[in-house]
Amino acid sequence: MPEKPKSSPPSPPPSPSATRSKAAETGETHKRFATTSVTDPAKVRAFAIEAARLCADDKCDDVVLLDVTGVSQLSDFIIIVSGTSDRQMHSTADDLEKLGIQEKYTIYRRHADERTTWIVADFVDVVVHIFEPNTRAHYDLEMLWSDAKRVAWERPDQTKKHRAGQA
Amino acid sequence: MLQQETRCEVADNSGAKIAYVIRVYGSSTRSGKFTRRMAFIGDRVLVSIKKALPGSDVKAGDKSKAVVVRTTKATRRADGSYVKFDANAVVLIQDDGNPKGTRIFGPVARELRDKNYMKIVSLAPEVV
Repeated sequence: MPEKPKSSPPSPPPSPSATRSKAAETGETHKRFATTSVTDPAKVRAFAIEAARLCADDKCDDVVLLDVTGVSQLSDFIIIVSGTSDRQMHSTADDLEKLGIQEKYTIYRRHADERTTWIVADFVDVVVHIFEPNTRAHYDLEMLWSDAKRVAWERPDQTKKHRAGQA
Repeated sequence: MLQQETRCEVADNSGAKIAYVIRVYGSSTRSGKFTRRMAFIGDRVLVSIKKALPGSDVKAGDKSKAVVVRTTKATRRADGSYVKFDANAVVLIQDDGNPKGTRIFGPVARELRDKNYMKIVSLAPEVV
């Protein structure tokens, strides 16, 4: 009767601390979630940067572009901007919608309240939040996504102007 | 699956802890009378606050609009999968649809995004 081959005991799964130390050695960042995007990441990034530039061109203040790939299950990029008036915030959202049609990123949902304190334009991979300044301070989304990396969106020739507050 | 007189958790930092559903919005008969209706994820309800933290803006006995974010009844998705949670939970909203709290506790269902509650989803730490 042939002997049964001795099966080796299953190796235990690596402990979280071991995984973390390995990631620290290799320089990889720990990502909680996989990307939700099905499109090319480079295209999504280019669209996010273009949308942030458009917001700045429409005279929105404090434009922040966050790369939440691996941090959020919702989208890959979040843009947070402050508007100056109801009309300006709505026109910025309209311009974003037009940009989305040009770039083949049709807007999925858009929500605005009656007093226009917060407009959300959802392009699935990119979500744009247009806030009234007080509402922005109240909800403080930047603190919520403090783990996310900030992406430089300024045009090379405008970087100095934005920093000096002259744009 | 919530209905009138259901007690549920409040999953935000508005200060309310337990809410009591007193009306499910979004359904009426042809003659204008309300019909009894179940509320699922993404449905709007009117709640009465039964328990709240002391010193918060929301007090026990207040009425508020709310959105259902978690249900123990499984919700079917287009791919055939089902999602259900351990407890029913709502998030309080203002009349204009903005959340009353600034943070959401626990996971929320992805269906909220389809129902245009992106503001609630943006404040949630996890989306299932």
